[in-house]
Amino acid sequence: MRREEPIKRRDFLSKVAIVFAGAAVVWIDGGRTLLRAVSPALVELSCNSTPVVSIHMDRPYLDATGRAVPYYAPIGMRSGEPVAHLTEEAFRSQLCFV
Amino acid sequence: MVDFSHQPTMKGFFAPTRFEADVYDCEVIGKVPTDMNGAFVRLGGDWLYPPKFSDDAPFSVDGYINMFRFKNGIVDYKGRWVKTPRYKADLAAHKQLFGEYRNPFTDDPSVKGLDRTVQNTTPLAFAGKLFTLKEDSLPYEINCNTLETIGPYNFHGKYKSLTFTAHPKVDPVTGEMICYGYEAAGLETNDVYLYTINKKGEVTREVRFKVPYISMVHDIGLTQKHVIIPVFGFVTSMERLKEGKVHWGWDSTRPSYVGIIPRDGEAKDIRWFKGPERATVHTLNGRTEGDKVILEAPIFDSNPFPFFPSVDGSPWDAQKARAYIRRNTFDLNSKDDGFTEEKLFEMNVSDLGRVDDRYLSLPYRYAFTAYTDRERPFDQWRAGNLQGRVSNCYGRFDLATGKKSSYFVGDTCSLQEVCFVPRKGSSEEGDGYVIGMASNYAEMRSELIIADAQRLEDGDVARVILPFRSTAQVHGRWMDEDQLPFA
Repeated sequence: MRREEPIKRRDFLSKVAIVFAGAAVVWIDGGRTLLRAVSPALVELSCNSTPVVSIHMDRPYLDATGRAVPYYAPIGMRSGEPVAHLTEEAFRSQLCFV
Repeated sequence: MVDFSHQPTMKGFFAPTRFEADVYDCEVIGKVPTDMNGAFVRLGGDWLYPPKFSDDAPFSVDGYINMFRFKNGIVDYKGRWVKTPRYKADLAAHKQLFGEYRNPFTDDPSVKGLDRTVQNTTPLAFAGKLFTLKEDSLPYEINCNTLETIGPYNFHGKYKSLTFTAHPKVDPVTGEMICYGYEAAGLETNDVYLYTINKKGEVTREVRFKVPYISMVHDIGLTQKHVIIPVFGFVTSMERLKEGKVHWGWDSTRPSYVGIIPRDGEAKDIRWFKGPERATVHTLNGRTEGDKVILEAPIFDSNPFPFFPSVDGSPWDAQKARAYIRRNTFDLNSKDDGFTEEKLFEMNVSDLGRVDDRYLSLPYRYAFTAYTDRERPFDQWRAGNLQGRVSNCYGRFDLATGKKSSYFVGDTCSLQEVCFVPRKGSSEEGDGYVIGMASNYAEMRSELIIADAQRLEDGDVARVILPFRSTAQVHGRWMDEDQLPFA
Protein backbone atom coordinates (compact mmCIF):
# COMPACT_ATOMS: atom_id res chain seq x y z
CA MET A 1 0.00 0.00 0.00
CA ARG A 2 1.37 3.42 -1.02
CA ARG A 3 2.15 5.61 1.92
CA GLU A 4 0.66 9.12 1.72
CA GLU A 5 3.56 11.64 1.72
CA PRO A 6 3.18 15.15 3.15
CA ILE A 7 2.90 17.83 0.45
CA LYS A 8 6.23 19.47 -0.34
CA ARG A 9 6.65 23.25 -0.39
CA ARG A 10 7.54 23.27 -4.10
CA ASP A 11 4.42 21.25 -4.98
CA PHE A 12 2.27 23.53 -2.88
CA LEU A 13 3.70 26.66 -4.58
CA SER A 14 3.21 25.24 -8.04
CA LYS A 15 -0.44 24.47 -7.25
CA VAL A 16 -0.93 27.97 -5.91
CA ALA A 17 0.67 29.35 -9.08
CA ILE A 18 -1.77 27.41 -11.26
CA VAL A 19 -4.72 28.79 -9.26
CA PHE A 20 -3.37 32.31 -9.59
CA ALA A 21 -2.75 31.85 -13.29
CA GLY A 22 -6.35 30.77 -13.75
CA ALA A 23 -7.56 33.78 -11.80
CA ALA A 24 -5.37 36.04 -13.90
CA VAL A 25 -6.87 34.64 -17.09
CA VAL A 26 -10.34 35.57 -15.89
CA TRP A 27 -9.11 38.99 -14.86
CA ILE A 28 -7.49 39.66 -18.23
CA ASP A 29 -10.52 38.56 -20.17
CA GLY A 30 -12.63 41.06 -18.34
CA GLY A 31 -10.04 43.76 -17.95
CA ARG A 32 -8.72 44.62 -21.38
CA THR A 33 -8.67 48.32 -20.56
CA LEU A 34 -6.14 47.71 -17.82
CA LEU A 35 -4.12 45.43 -20.07
CA ARG A 36 -4.15 48.04 -22.84
CA ALA A 37 -2.22 50.36 -20.56
CA VAL A 38 0.49 47.73 -20.32
CA SER A 39 0.54 46.37 -23.88
CA PRO A 40 -1.86 47.49 -26.63
CA ALA A 41 -0.36 44.93 -28.98
CA LEU A 42 -1.15 42.13 -26.57
CA VAL A 43 -4.78 43.25 -26.30
CA GLU A 44 -5.12 43.22 -30.06
CA LEU A 45 -3.67 39.74 -30.25
CA SER A 46 -5.76 38.45 -27.40
CA CYS A 47 -9.12 38.94 -29.14
CA ASN A 48 -10.93 35.66 -29.89
CA SER A 49 -8.20 33.48 -28.43
CA THR A 50 -7.70 31.19 -25.50
CA PRO A 51 -5.12 32.23 -22.88
CA VAL A 52 -2.46 29.72 -21.93
CA VAL A 53 0.42 29.65 -19.52
CA SER A 54 3.72 29.13 -21.34
CA ILE A 55 7.41 29.05 -20.64
CA HIS A 56 9.94 31.06 -22.62
CA MET A 57 13.65 31.29 -21.79
CA ASP A 58 12.97 29.53 -18.48
CA ARG A 59 10.40 32.13 -17.42
CA PRO A 60 6.68 31.55 -17.10
CA TYR A 61 4.39 33.98 -18.82
CA LEU A 62 0.73 34.32 -19.52
CA ASP A 63 0.12 34.18 -23.23
CA ALA A 64 -3.34 35.63 -23.76
CA THR A 65 -3.35 34.86 -27.47
CA GLY A 66 -3.14 31.10 -27.27
CA ARG A 67 -0.54 31.32 -30.00
CA ALA A 68 2.56 31.22 -27.82
CA VAL A 69 3.80 34.69 -28.74
CA PRO A 70 7.30 35.49 -27.51
CA TYR A 71 7.93 36.46 -23.92
CA TYR A 72 7.65 40.17 -23.19
CA ALA A 73 9.85 41.12 -20.29
CA PRO A 74 8.33 43.64 -17.89
CA ILE A 75 9.18 47.30 -18.30
CA GLY A 76 12.54 47.93 -16.72
CA MET A 77 13.75 44.42 -17.39
CA ARG A 78 14.20 44.65 -21.18
CA SER A 79 17.85 44.62 -22.07
CA GLY A 80 17.94 48.03 -23.72
CA GLU A 81 15.66 49.67 -21.16
CA PRO A 82 18.12 50.54 -18.36
CA VAL A 83 19.81 53.16 -20.55
CA ALA A 84 16.67 54.57 -22.17
CA HIS A 85 16.45 57.51 -19.80
CA LEU A 86 19.96 58.74 -20.53
CA THR A 87 20.56 61.86 -22.58
CA GLU A 88 22.33 61.44 -25.89
CA GLU A 89 25.48 62.85 -24.31
CA ALA A 90 25.36 60.50 -21.33
CA PHE A 91 24.62 57.52 -23.57
CA ARG A 92 27.45 58.29 -25.99
CA SER A 93 29.82 58.98 -23.14
CA GLN A 94 30.28 55.25 -22.67
CA LEU A 95 28.42 53.51 -25.47
CA CYS A 96 29.92 55.01 -28.60
CA PHE A 97 30.29 51.80 -30.60
CA VAL A 98 27.06 49.91 -29.85
CA MET B 1 34.68 44.02 -4.02
CA VAL B 2 33.70 44.49 -7.67
CA ASP B 3 30.72 46.80 -8.01
CA PHE B 4 29.39 48.11 -11.30
CA SER B 5 26.04 49.22 -9.86
CA HIS B 6 26.97 52.91 -9.94
CA GLN B 7 27.87 52.92 -13.63
CA PRO B 8 24.81 54.36 -15.40
CA THR B 9 25.54 52.82 -18.81
CA MET B 10 26.82 49.43 -17.69
CA LYS B 11 23.41 47.86 -17.27
CA GLY B 12 21.11 45.51 -19.14
CA PHE B 13 22.64 44.50 -22.44
CA PHE B 14 25.54 46.86 -21.79
CA ALA B 15 26.71 45.37 -18.51
CA PRO B 16 30.25 43.98 -18.50
CA THR B 17 30.41 40.25 -19.23
CA ARG B 18 33.76 39.53 -17.52
CA PHE B 19 34.33 35.99 -18.68
CA GLU B 20 36.40 34.13 -21.26
CA ALA B 21 34.60 31.67 -23.46
CA ASP B 22 34.88 28.82 -25.95
CA VAL B 23 31.90 27.70 -27.97
CA TYR B 24 32.51 24.82 -30.34
CA ASP B 25 30.32 24.29 -33.39
CA CYS B 26 28.13 27.31 -32.83
CA GLU B 27 24.41 27.26 -33.42
CA VAL B 28 23.64 28.62 -36.87
CA ILE B 29 20.42 29.91 -38.40
CA GLY B 30 20.75 29.54 -42.17
CA LYS B 31 23.83 28.17 -43.84
CA VAL B 32 27.38 29.41 -43.43
CA PRO B 33 29.01 29.70 -46.89
CA THR B 34 31.55 26.90 -47.20
CA ASP B 35 33.95 29.13 -49.14
CA MET B 36 34.51 31.23 -46.02
CA ASN B 37 37.59 29.66 -44.47
CA GLY B 38 39.56 31.70 -41.98
CA ALA B 39 38.48 33.78 -39.02
CA PHE B 40 36.52 36.88 -38.19
CA VAL B 41 38.50 38.45 -35.38
CA ARG B 42 37.01 41.21 -33.25
CA LEU B 43 38.73 43.47 -30.79
CA GLY B 44 36.94 45.59 -28.27
CA GLY B 45 36.72 45.94 -24.57
CA ASP B 46 35.19 44.65 -21.39
CA TRP B 47 35.76 46.31 -18.05
CA LEU B 48 37.66 44.04 -15.70
CA TYR B 49 37.11 46.59 -12.93
CA PRO B 50 35.02 49.76 -13.02
CA PRO B 51 36.82 52.91 -14.20
CA LYS B 52 38.64 54.82 -11.48
CA PHE B 53 36.95 58.07 -12.49
CA SER B 54 33.35 58.51 -13.58
CA ASP B 55 34.29 60.81 -16.48
CA ASP B 56 36.89 58.47 -17.94
CA ALA B 57 36.58 57.67 -21.64
CA PRO B 58 35.23 54.32 -22.83
CA PHE B 59 38.51 53.97 -24.72
CA SER B 60 40.08 52.96 -21.38
CA VAL B 61 38.16 49.70 -21.34
CA ASP B 62 40.31 46.55 -21.02
CA GLY B 63 41.02 44.87 -24.34
CA TYR B 64 39.15 41.70 -25.21
CA ILE B 65 39.83 39.73 -28.40
CA ASN B 66 37.41 37.25 -29.82
CA MET B 67 37.43 35.08 -32.89
CA PHE B 68 34.87 33.26 -34.99
CA ARG B 69 36.89 30.51 -36.67
CA PHE B 70 35.30 29.39 -39.94
CA LYS B 71 36.13 25.99 -41.39
CA ASN B 72 34.03 24.28 -44.07
CA GLY B 73 30.78 25.78 -42.87
CA ILE B 74 31.45 25.13 -39.17
CA VAL B 75 32.11 28.05 -36.81
CA ASP B 76 33.84 27.93 -33.42
CA TYR B 77 34.01 30.92 -31.08
CA LYS B 78 36.77 31.88 -28.67
CA GLY B 79 37.07 34.97 -26.47
CA ARG B 80 40.01 36.06 -24.32
CA TRP B 81 41.16 39.15 -22.46
CA VAL B 82 44.27 40.78 -23.86
CA LYS B 83 46.56 40.15 -20.92
CA THR B 84 48.48 43.39 -20.81
CA PRO B 85 50.67 44.44 -17.86
CA ARG B 86 47.77 46.72 -16.91
CA TYR B 87 45.27 43.84 -16.87
CA LYS B 88 47.61 41.74 -14.75
CA ALA B 89 48.32 44.58 -12.30
CA ASP B 90 44.63 45.33 -11.83
CA LEU B 91 43.80 41.67 -11.35
CA ALA B 92 46.54 41.27 -8.76
CA ALA B 93 45.31 44.35 -6.87
CA HIS B 94 41.62 43.42 -7.27
CA LYS B 95 40.83 46.95 -8.38
CA GLN B 96 41.31 49.55 -11.09
CA LEU B 97 44.72 51.14 -10.62
CA PHE B 98 44.75 53.25 -13.76
CA GLY B 99 43.17 56.66 -14.04
CA GLU B 100 41.98 58.85 -16.87
CA TYR B 101 42.43 57.95 -20.53
CA ARG B 102 46.11 58.28 -21.47
CA ASN B 103 46.94 60.28 -18.36
CA PRO B 104 49.53 58.52 -16.20
CA PHE B 105 49.41 61.34 -13.62
CA THR B 106 46.06 59.99 -12.45
CA ASP B 107 47.28 56.43 -11.80
CA ASP B 108 47.88 54.70 -8.52
CA PRO B 109 51.57 55.26 -7.59
CA SER B 110 52.11 51.50 -7.50
CA VAL B 111 51.90 51.27 -11.31
CA LYS B 112 54.13 54.21 -12.18
CA GLY B 113 56.10 53.43 -15.35
CA LEU B 114 54.03 50.36 -16.27
CA ASP B 115 52.70 50.06 -19.84
CA ARG B 116 49.19 51.59 -19.56
CA THR B 117 47.86 50.25 -22.84
CA VAL B 118 44.61 48.31 -22.90
CA GLN B 119 44.91 46.98 -26.51
CA ASN B 120 41.26 47.34 -27.38
CA THR B 121 41.00 48.79 -30.88
CA THR B 122 41.92 46.77 -33.99
CA PRO B 123 43.07 43.21 -34.70
CA LEU B 124 45.66 42.84 -37.45
CA ALA B 125 47.01 39.86 -39.38
CA PHE B 126 50.37 40.70 -40.95
CA ALA B 127 53.51 38.77 -41.88
CA GLY B 128 51.97 35.58 -40.51
CA LYS B 129 51.28 37.02 -37.08
CA LEU B 130 48.17 38.17 -35.24
CA PHE B 131 48.33 41.47 -33.39
CA THR B 132 46.12 43.69 -31.29
CA LEU B 133 46.50 47.40 -31.88
CA LYS B 134 45.95 50.45 -29.71
CA GLU B 135 47.38 53.79 -30.69
CA ASP B 136 49.08 54.50 -27.37
CA SER B 137 51.62 51.67 -27.53
CA LEU B 138 53.34 49.06 -29.66
CA PRO B 139 51.26 46.23 -31.17
CA TYR B 140 50.78 43.16 -28.99
CA GLU B 141 51.35 39.79 -30.57
CA ILE B 142 48.62 37.22 -29.95
CA ASN B 143 48.67 33.45 -30.52
CA CYS B 144 46.17 33.02 -33.37
CA ASN B 145 45.01 29.61 -32.14
CA THR B 146 44.69 30.15 -28.39
CA LEU B 147 44.26 33.94 -28.40
CA GLU B 148 46.68 34.08 -25.50
CA THR B 149 48.77 37.24 -25.28
CA ILE B 150 52.44 36.96 -26.24
CA GLY B 151 53.46 40.59 -25.73
CA PRO B 152 54.57 43.83 -27.36
CA TYR B 153 56.21 43.63 -30.79
CA ASN B 154 58.65 46.09 -32.43
CA PHE B 155 59.42 44.46 -35.79
CA HIS B 156 62.87 43.15 -34.89
CA GLY B 157 63.80 46.39 -33.12
CA LYS B 158 63.47 48.47 -36.29
CA TYR B 159 60.18 50.12 -35.41
CA LYS B 160 61.29 53.01 -33.21
CA SER B 161 58.08 54.89 -32.52
CA LEU B 162 56.75 54.31 -29.02
CA THR B 163 53.24 54.09 -30.43
CA PHE B 164 51.57 52.27 -33.32
CA THR B 165 48.36 53.28 -35.06
CA ALA B 166 45.18 51.24 -34.88
CA HIS B 167 44.78 51.80 -38.63
CA PRO B 168 47.77 50.62 -40.62
CA LYS B 169 47.11 50.21 -44.34
CA VAL B 170 48.18 47.16 -46.30
CA ASP B 171 48.76 47.93 -49.97
CA PRO B 172 46.97 45.18 -51.95
CA VAL B 173 49.39 45.62 -54.86
CA THR B 174 52.73 45.33 -53.04
CA GLY B 175 51.66 43.66 -49.80
CA GLU B 176 53.51 46.40 -47.88
CA MET B 177 52.09 47.84 -44.71
CA ILE B 178 52.11 51.63 -44.30
CA CYS B 179 51.89 52.42 -40.60
CA TYR B 180 52.84 55.10 -38.14
CA GLY B 181 52.86 56.23 -34.57
CA TYR B 182 51.88 59.66 -33.30
CA GLU B 183 53.15 61.10 -30.03
CA ALA B 184 55.88 58.85 -31.34
CA ALA B 185 58.70 60.22 -29.21
CA GLY B 186 56.70 60.11 -25.98
CA LEU B 187 53.76 61.62 -24.20
CA GLU B 188 52.86 65.12 -25.47
CA THR B 189 55.28 65.15 -28.40
CA ASN B 190 54.08 66.28 -31.83
CA ASP B 191 56.22 63.72 -33.65
CA VAL B 192 54.86 61.28 -36.19
CA TYR B 193 57.05 58.42 -37.42
CA LEU B 194 55.79 56.94 -40.68
CA TYR B 195 56.92 53.44 -41.71
CA THR B 196 56.81 51.06 -44.60
CA ILE B 197 57.08 47.41 -43.59
CA ASN B 198 57.37 44.73 -46.26
CA LYS B 199 55.25 41.61 -46.29
CA LYS B 200 57.94 39.66 -44.46
CA GLY B 201 57.60 42.06 -41.54
CA GLU B 202 60.83 43.98 -42.19
CA VAL B 203 60.93 47.75 -41.78
CA THR B 204 62.11 49.18 -45.11
CA ARG B 205 61.48 52.88 -44.64
CA GLU B 206 61.07 55.44 -41.87
CA VAL B 207 60.17 59.12 -42.17
CA ARG B 208 59.94 61.39 -39.13
CA PHE B 209 57.96 64.64 -39.22
CA LYS B 210 55.96 66.92 -36.97
CA VAL B 211 52.24 67.70 -37.12
CA PRO B 212 50.88 71.29 -36.84
CA TYR B 213 49.69 70.62 -33.31
CA ILE B 214 49.61 67.56 -31.07
CA SER B 215 46.39 65.82 -31.93
CA MET B 216 44.75 62.46 -32.39
CA VAL B 217 45.92 61.03 -35.72
CA HIS B 218 43.68 58.01 -35.56
CA ASP B 219 43.57 56.97 -39.21
CA ILE B 220 45.19 57.84 -42.53
CA GLY B 221 44.36 57.50 -46.20
CA LEU B 222 46.54 55.61 -48.63
CA THR B 223 46.89 55.96 -52.39
CA GLN B 224 49.37 54.30 -54.71
CA LYS B 225 51.49 57.47 -54.52
CA HIS B 226 50.63 59.32 -51.33
CA VAL B 227 49.81 59.03 -47.67
CA ILE B 228 47.02 61.33 -46.41
CA ILE B 229 47.24 62.40 -42.77
CA PRO B 230 44.20 64.07 -41.16
CA VAL B 231 44.78 66.20 -38.04
CA PHE B 232 41.74 67.77 -36.37
CA GLY B 233 40.35 69.46 -33.25
CA PHE B 234 41.51 67.19 -30.43
CA VAL B 235 44.19 68.90 -28.36
CA THR B 236 46.27 67.97 -25.36
CA SER B 237 49.10 69.34 -23.23
CA MET B 238 51.26 68.36 -20.31
CA GLU B 239 49.49 71.02 -18.20
CA ARG B 240 46.18 69.43 -18.99
CA LEU B 241 47.41 66.02 -17.92
CA LYS B 242 48.91 67.36 -14.69
CA GLU B 243 45.51 68.88 -13.90
CA GLY B 244 44.20 65.32 -13.92
CA LYS B 245 42.13 65.60 -17.09
CA VAL B 246 41.44 63.01 -19.76
CA HIS B 247 44.08 63.09 -22.52
CA TRP B 248 42.06 64.91 -25.20
CA GLY B 249 39.94 68.02 -25.22
CA TRP B 250 38.15 69.51 -28.23
CA ASP B 251 39.18 72.94 -29.46
CA SER B 252 36.68 74.22 -32.04
CA THR B 253 38.95 77.14 -32.93
CA ARG B 254 41.60 74.83 -34.34
CA PRO B 255 41.48 74.34 -38.08
CA SER B 256 41.62 70.83 -39.41
CA TYR B 257 44.78 70.02 -41.30
CA VAL B 258 45.43 67.32 -43.85
CA GLY B 259 49.01 66.41 -44.66
CA ILE B 260 49.90 64.84 -48.00
CA ILE B 261 53.26 63.11 -48.28
CA PRO B 262 54.54 61.09 -51.25
CA ARG B 263 55.05 57.45 -50.30
CA ASP B 264 58.67 57.76 -51.39
CA GLY B 265 59.04 61.29 -49.97
CA GLU B 266 60.86 62.80 -47.02
CA ALA B 267 59.64 65.05 -44.23
CA LYS B 268 60.39 68.15 -46.33
CA ASP B 269 57.97 66.92 -49.00
CA ILE B 270 54.90 66.92 -46.81
CA ARG B 271 52.32 69.54 -47.74
CA TRP B 272 49.70 70.67 -45.24
CA PHE B 273 46.25 71.69 -46.41
CA LYS B 274 43.96 73.60 -44.06
CA GLY B 275 40.17 73.40 -43.62
CA PRO B 276 37.37 74.31 -41.22
CA GLU B 277 36.42 72.54 -37.97
CA ARG B 278 35.96 68.86 -38.79
CA ALA B 279 36.69 65.41 -37.35
CA THR B 280 37.97 62.67 -39.66
CA VAL B 281 38.34 59.82 -37.21
CA HIS B 282 38.15 57.01 -39.78
CA THR B 283 38.73 56.96 -43.52
CA LEU B 284 37.26 54.86 -46.31
CA ASN B 285 39.78 55.06 -49.15
CA GLY B 286 42.12 57.34 -51.05
CA ARG B 287 43.50 57.60 -54.55
CA THR B 288 45.77 59.80 -56.63
CA GLU B 289 44.44 61.04 -59.97
CA GLY B 290 47.07 63.09 -61.78
CA ASP B 291 47.86 66.06 -59.56
CA LYS B 292 44.87 65.50 -57.34
CA VAL B 293 44.75 63.43 -54.20
CA ILE B 294 41.29 62.30 -53.15
CA LEU B 295 40.13 61.04 -49.78
CA GLU B 296 36.68 59.70 -49.02
CA ALA B 297 35.67 59.33 -45.38
CA PRO B 298 32.75 59.59 -42.97
CA ILE B 299 33.49 63.04 -41.55
CA PHE B 300 31.92 64.81 -38.57
CA ASP B 301 31.31 68.56 -38.43
CA SER B 302 32.63 68.71 -34.89
CA ASN B 303 33.58 66.65 -31.85
CA PRO B 304 32.09 63.14 -32.09
CA PHE B 305 33.05 62.13 -28.55
CA PRO B 306 31.34 63.74 -25.53
CA PHE B 307 33.90 62.13 -23.21
CA PHE B 308 36.57 64.42 -24.69
CA PRO B 309 34.95 67.71 -23.68
CA SER B 310 35.44 71.15 -25.18
CA VAL B 311 38.39 73.05 -23.76
CA ASP B 312 36.25 76.21 -23.57
CA GLY B 313 33.53 74.48 -21.56
CA SER B 314 30.90 74.71 -24.28
CA PRO B 315 28.39 71.85 -24.35
CA TRP B 316 28.76 68.86 -26.65
CA ASP B 317 26.53 69.16 -29.70
CA ALA B 318 24.88 65.88 -30.71
CA GLN B 319 23.70 67.38 -34.01
CA LYS B 320 27.26 68.09 -35.09
CA ALA B 321 28.39 64.64 -33.97
CA ARG B 322 26.94 63.01 -37.07
CA ALA B 323 29.16 61.58 -39.75
CA TYR B 324 28.47 62.06 -43.47
CA ILE B 325 30.34 60.36 -46.29
CA ARG B 326 32.37 63.15 -47.87
CA ARG B 327 35.02 63.54 -50.52
CA ASN B 328 38.00 65.80 -49.94
CA THR B 329 40.05 66.72 -52.99
CA PHE B 330 43.54 68.14 -52.66
CA ASP B 331 45.07 69.82 -55.67
CA LEU B 332 48.83 69.48 -55.55
CA ASN B 333 49.11 72.24 -58.17
CA SER B 334 47.14 74.76 -56.13
CA LYS B 335 48.82 77.89 -54.85
CA ASP B 336 46.95 78.04 -51.55
CA ASP B 337 46.40 75.59 -48.71
CA GLY B 338 42.67 75.05 -49.23
CA PHE B 339 40.87 71.94 -50.47
CA THR B 340 37.37 71.08 -51.64
CA GLU B 341 34.78 69.07 -49.74
CA GLU B 342 31.67 67.36 -51.15
CA LYS B 343 28.96 65.60 -49.19
CA LEU B 344 28.28 62.43 -51.22
CA PHE B 345 25.16 61.24 -49.38
CA GLU B 346 22.73 63.40 -47.42
CA MET B 347 22.15 60.76 -44.74
CA ASN B 348 24.35 60.38 -41.67
CA VAL B 349 26.09 57.05 -41.18
CA SER B 350 28.31 55.17 -38.75
CA ASP B 351 31.87 56.38 -39.16
CA LEU B 352 33.10 52.77 -38.89
CA GLY B 353 32.98 52.22 -42.64
CA ARG B 354 34.86 49.74 -44.79
CA VAL B 355 35.70 49.06 -48.40
CA ASP B 356 36.72 45.94 -50.29
CA ASP B 357 40.33 45.92 -49.06
CA ARG B 358 41.56 44.49 -52.36
CA TYR B 359 40.81 47.97 -53.74
CA LEU B 360 42.47 49.95 -50.97
CA SER B 361 44.54 52.83 -52.39
CA LEU B 362 43.03 52.17 -55.85
CA PRO B 363 40.04 53.52 -57.77
CA TYR B 364 36.95 51.89 -56.25
CA ARG B 365 33.19 52.16 -56.20
CA TYR B 366 31.63 50.77 -53.03
CA ALA B 367 31.70 51.79 -49.39
CA PHE B 368 30.03 49.75 -46.68
CA THR B 369 28.85 51.04 -43.34
CA ALA B 370 26.04 50.81 -40.80
CA TYR B 371 23.33 53.39 -40.38
CA THR B 372 19.99 53.99 -38.67
CA ASP B 373 16.86 53.74 -40.76
CA ARG B 374 14.12 55.30 -38.62
CA GLU B 375 11.44 54.04 -41.01
CA ARG B 376 12.23 50.46 -40.03
CA PRO B 377 10.39 48.97 -37.06
CA PHE B 378 11.91 48.53 -33.62
CA ASP B 379 10.12 46.32 -31.10
CA GLN B 380 10.65 48.23 -27.89
CA TRP B 381 8.31 45.90 -26.03
CA ARG B 382 10.82 43.10 -26.49
CA ALA B 383 14.07 44.97 -26.76
CA GLY B 384 13.57 48.02 -24.59
CA ASN B 385 13.12 51.61 -25.58
CA LEU B 386 16.49 52.66 -26.96
CA GLN B 387 15.22 56.02 -28.27
CA GLY B 388 16.30 55.18 -31.80
CA ARG B 389 19.85 54.46 -30.71
CA VAL B 390 20.26 51.44 -32.92
CA SER B 391 22.13 50.88 -36.16
CA ASN B 392 19.61 48.64 -37.85
CA CYS B 393 21.02 48.52 -41.39
CA TYR B 394 24.21 47.83 -43.27
CA GLY B 395 24.42 49.85 -46.46
CA ARG B 396 26.44 49.43 -49.61
CA PHE B 397 26.98 52.95 -50.86
CA ASP B 398 27.70 53.20 -54.57
CA LEU B 399 29.98 56.19 -54.97
CA ALA B 400 29.60 56.09 -58.76
CA THR B 401 25.80 56.31 -58.90
CA GLY B 402 24.90 57.69 -55.47
CA LYS B 403 22.61 54.71 -54.88
CA LYS B 404 22.42 52.59 -51.76
CA SER B 405 21.39 49.00 -51.12
CA SER B 406 20.53 47.86 -47.60
CA TYR B 407 20.48 44.96 -45.24
CA PHE B 408 17.99 45.23 -42.36
CA VAL B 409 18.90 43.25 -39.24
CA GLY B 410 15.44 42.95 -37.68
CA ASP B 411 13.38 44.77 -35.10
CA THR B 412 15.21 43.78 -31.92
CA CYS B 413 18.84 44.16 -33.01
CA SER B 414 21.57 46.74 -33.46
CA LEU B 415 24.60 46.29 -35.69
CA GLN B 416 28.23 46.94 -34.89
CA GLU B 417 30.95 47.72 -37.46
CA VAL B 418 30.59 46.07 -40.85
CA CYS B 419 33.37 44.06 -42.50
CA PHE B 420 33.66 42.91 -46.10
CA VAL B 421 34.82 39.38 -46.96
CA PRO B 422 35.74 38.72 -50.63
CA ARG B 423 34.23 35.67 -52.27
CA LYS B 424 36.88 33.02 -52.85
CA GLY B 425 38.10 33.00 -56.43
CA SER B 426 36.47 36.28 -57.40
CA SER B 427 38.30 39.57 -57.96
CA GLU B 428 35.26 41.70 -58.78
CA GLU B 429 34.93 44.59 -56.36
CA GLY B 430 32.19 44.02 -53.81
CA ASP B 431 31.66 40.35 -54.71
CA GLY B 432 31.55 38.63 -51.35
CA TYR B 433 29.90 38.91 -47.98
CA VAL B 434 29.25 41.58 -45.42
CA ILE B 435 29.78 40.30 -41.93
CA GLY B 436 29.27 41.88 -38.55
CA MET B 437 27.98 41.47 -35.05
CA ALA B 438 24.40 42.17 -34.09
CA SER B 439 23.28 42.77 -30.53
CA ASN B 440 19.91 41.09 -30.06
CA TYR B 441 18.40 43.10 -27.21
CA ALA B 442 15.32 40.87 -26.91
CA GLU B 443 17.20 37.60 -26.55
CA MET B 444 20.18 39.07 -24.65
CA ARG B 445 22.63 37.50 -27.04
CA SER B 446 25.01 38.36 -29.86
CA GLU B 447 24.57 37.11 -33.40
CA LEU B 448 27.15 37.18 -36.17
CA ILE B 449 25.44 38.26 -39.38
CA ILE B 450 26.58 37.04 -42.80
CA ALA B 451 24.89 38.50 -45.88
CA ASP B 452 25.65 38.43 -49.59
CA ALA B 453 27.14 41.86 -50.31
CA GLN B 454 25.51 41.97 -53.75
CA ARG B 455 22.09 40.96 -52.43
CA LEU B 456 21.74 42.84 -49.18
CA GLU B 457 17.98 43.26 -49.57
CA ASP B 458 17.60 39.47 -49.44
CA GLY B 459 18.62 39.43 -45.78
CA ASP B 460 21.28 37.33 -44.15
CA VAL B 461 22.39 33.96 -45.48
CA ALA B 462 23.44 32.88 -41.98
CA ARG B 463 23.39 34.00 -38.37
CA VAL B 464 25.91 32.47 -36.00
CA ILE B 465 24.28 32.50 -32.58
CA LEU B 466 26.17 33.03 -29.35
CA PRO B 467 24.23 32.02 -26.26
CA PHE B 468 25.39 35.18 -24.46
CA ARG B 469 26.25 38.84 -25.02
CA SER B 470 29.66 39.23 -26.59
CA THR B 471 31.64 42.33 -25.73
CA ALA B 472 31.18 45.34 -27.96
CA GLN B 473 33.91 45.59 -30.55
CA VAL B 474 35.65 48.64 -31.83
CA HIS B 475 36.94 46.97 -35.00
CA GLY B 476 36.78 43.53 -36.56
CA ARG B 477 38.78 42.06 -39.43
CA TRP B 478 38.38 39.03 -41.65
CA MET B 479 41.56 36.94 -41.78
CA ASP B 480 41.86 34.38 -44.54
CA GLU B 481 43.00 30.83 -43.85
CA ASP B 482 46.38 31.50 -45.50
CA GLN B 483 47.15 34.72 -43.60
CA LEU B 484 47.86 33.06 -40.26
CA PRO B 485 49.24 29.69 -39.09
CA PHE B 486 45.88 28.37 -37.97
CA ALA B 487 45.82 24.87 -36.49
